[in-house]
Amino acid sequence: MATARATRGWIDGGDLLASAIASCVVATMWTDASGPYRAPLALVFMLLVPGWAVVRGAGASISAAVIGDVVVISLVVDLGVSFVLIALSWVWRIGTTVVAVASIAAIWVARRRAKQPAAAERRGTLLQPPGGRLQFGRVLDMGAFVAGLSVCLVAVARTDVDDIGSAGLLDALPAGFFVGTALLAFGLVNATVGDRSVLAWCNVVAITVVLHGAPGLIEKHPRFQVAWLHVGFAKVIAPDGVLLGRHDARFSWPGFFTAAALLQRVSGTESVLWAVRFTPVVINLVAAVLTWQLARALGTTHRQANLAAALFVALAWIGQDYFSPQAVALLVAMWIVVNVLRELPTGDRRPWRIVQWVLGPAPRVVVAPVWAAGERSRLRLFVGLVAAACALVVSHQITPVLLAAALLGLTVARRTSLRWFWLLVGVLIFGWMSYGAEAYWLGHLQELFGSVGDVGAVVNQNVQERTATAAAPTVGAERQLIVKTRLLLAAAMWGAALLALVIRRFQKRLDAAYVALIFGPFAAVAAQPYGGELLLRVALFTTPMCVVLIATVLIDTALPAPRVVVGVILSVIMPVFVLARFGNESYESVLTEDLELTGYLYEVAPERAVVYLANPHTLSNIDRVGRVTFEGLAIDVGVATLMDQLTARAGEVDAVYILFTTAQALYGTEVNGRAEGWLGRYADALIEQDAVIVVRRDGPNNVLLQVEPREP
Amino acid sequence: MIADSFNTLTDLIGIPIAVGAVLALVLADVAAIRGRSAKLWKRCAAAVLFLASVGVIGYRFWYRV
Repeated sequence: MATARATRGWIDGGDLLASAIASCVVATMWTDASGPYRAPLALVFMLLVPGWAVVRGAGASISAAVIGDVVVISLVVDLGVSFVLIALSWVWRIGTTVVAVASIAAIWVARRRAKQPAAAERRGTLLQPPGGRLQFGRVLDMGAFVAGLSVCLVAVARTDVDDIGSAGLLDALPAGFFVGTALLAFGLVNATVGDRSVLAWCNVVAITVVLHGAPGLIEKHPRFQVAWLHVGFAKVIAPDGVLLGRHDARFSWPGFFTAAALLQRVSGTESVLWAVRFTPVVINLVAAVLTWQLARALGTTHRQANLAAALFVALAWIGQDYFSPQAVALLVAMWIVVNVLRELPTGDRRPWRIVQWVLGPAPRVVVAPVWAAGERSRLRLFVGLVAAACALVVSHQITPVLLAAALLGLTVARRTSLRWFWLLVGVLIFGWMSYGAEAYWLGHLQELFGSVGDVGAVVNQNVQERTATAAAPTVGAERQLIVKTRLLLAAAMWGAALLALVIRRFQKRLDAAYVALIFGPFAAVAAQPYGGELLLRVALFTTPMCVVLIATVLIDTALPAPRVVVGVILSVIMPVFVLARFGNESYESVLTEDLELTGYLYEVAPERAVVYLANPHTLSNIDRVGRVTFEGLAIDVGVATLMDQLTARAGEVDAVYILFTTAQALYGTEVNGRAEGWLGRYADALIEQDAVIVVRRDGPNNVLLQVEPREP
Repeated sequence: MIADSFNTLTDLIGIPIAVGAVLALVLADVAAIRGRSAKLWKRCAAAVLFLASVGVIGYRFWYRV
């Protein structure tokens, strides 16, 4: 009774808050009010309000885990609405107002319709309320949480950003940081094994904040140049909704960038750079909640689901959680898989005999639906899943392919009543490729489809080239260690998952869904190398399923001391994670001197200027996208030949610049094995040429040069 | 001339056919969710629509390259 009252209170509060936020956003937008409150208000609106309205309107059961559905549905609405607005002359104020008004209407209609809250028991609660007296275990959990978080935050505060070296953030973080993460890990495991969900999730949140948020807490500027580039893309769309499909292939999948542009307009800021710093924390927290939902959809207990969520945040080292289309796409794809498994199960259809013969008898998985039960509700959900798939297809290239493969696996394994959804996603992908992304594939179809079926080439690009580059004699030991650690972490995760599959098979309790979701995405490896990154994307996509399986077996297996064993495993993973995830931090962090020089470049560069870079690992396209363009410098052809090419180019455009920065120099030294100071010496060699003027030089590596056009 | 006209026609009819294929697949799964199987002529129509969309999209890839 008390729980129902508390749930009712949360629902009332959520309804009022969502309505108030939507009203305030509409008011600030139309009055063009300015103030520090407007950007956070716009962010909260776009991340929560449409999703809350849909959840309430659909009569879903409300618990803490609903936050995953709310955020993902909001993101799908943002992607879809902003994409449609591009076709409607970018009437962003009207579009946002329609979303806000519709959200408020849906919430209040739902309130009138349902006097009683939907049963919270249907979902099972992410945060089971603590009950009973204060036990020793609970005191221990709280102590570990408070002490671990405090130690981590003190360590972060004492970290000097100048200490970041060739091993990345690991060089700079004091040992105390890992004492703190170990305390959090032990607190988490103790709370999980003791089935104290609130405390377990306190630790999950703390681990996510300190692990994934460490660079944001330590570094002066938001990290990673590609995230800044995505901000630049949003900035060029924001004024009038124009996409530059011919400038960059990524504009052919514009969903994320149009949503970011909409956020920029609704927040009234000059860019959305303010949203970049802690994006990884938000993405990983939502992904952790969705991992919990996935675990529950696979019929696991609360303890197993909590441990799976913790393992996810400690093993998600792939680094695709920054302000990017793939980060949002992963959440949408996970949400689709969770709902297909939980809401649209097979019923009484048995798996095919061949599947039963290979995987053994199928265990009966009974999971209560979260969305209101009944045929109409299931049909409404299916329409929602199709809408989410559409939003996904126009937002990212590779994630829908992985999703289609996973869905095909679930269909073959007969774990869902949907028979054609995988094909539908496939048709959407090819339809969009053919019409919407024409600018991308025109003229280089061979590059796209030349590797189809050539698994050897894909593996070669994804693994062998990485290891070969890292093993070059000029590359430092730290770099080699980082590359090996990444491969080892991926291999360890897949190896552990495989072992868990074998254990489950021998126990005759293997759910075919695990096999479908872990092996299905590997089918995409036969497609194409995706710039040598496909295996990384497969690793990211399969991580939630792998950690659920590993957590299930870890908790189920009668370990002699589960708290100690799992606690030690988690504690050891943390520093390894930091090395793998933030090993590139020396050149992936944004340095003040690089930012100042790039800012100066944008001050002096005229329209139609071309800027040459020694390598792409620096800030580029952060402003005036399509008008100031960036190209790679062929630095290995020799200075005289290069200057011939550049002076000729300078006659064709309004200005030609050469930009060298510290990040480019560090990338060359650490990844390409170039000698210390190589970029400065190269700049000196260019300056000796008569056709080059030094526009600004801030240090040995930070140089801005302008090339004079060749005399006719 | 005839080829150009055919290509333009493919551009024009490709989108409705692809949308039709998507709708056919949606309806097939709607029937699956409702626990009913579609009639034979509906299945055949969906298969034809799907194959037509694959053909049109594939042809478009080929001639646009």
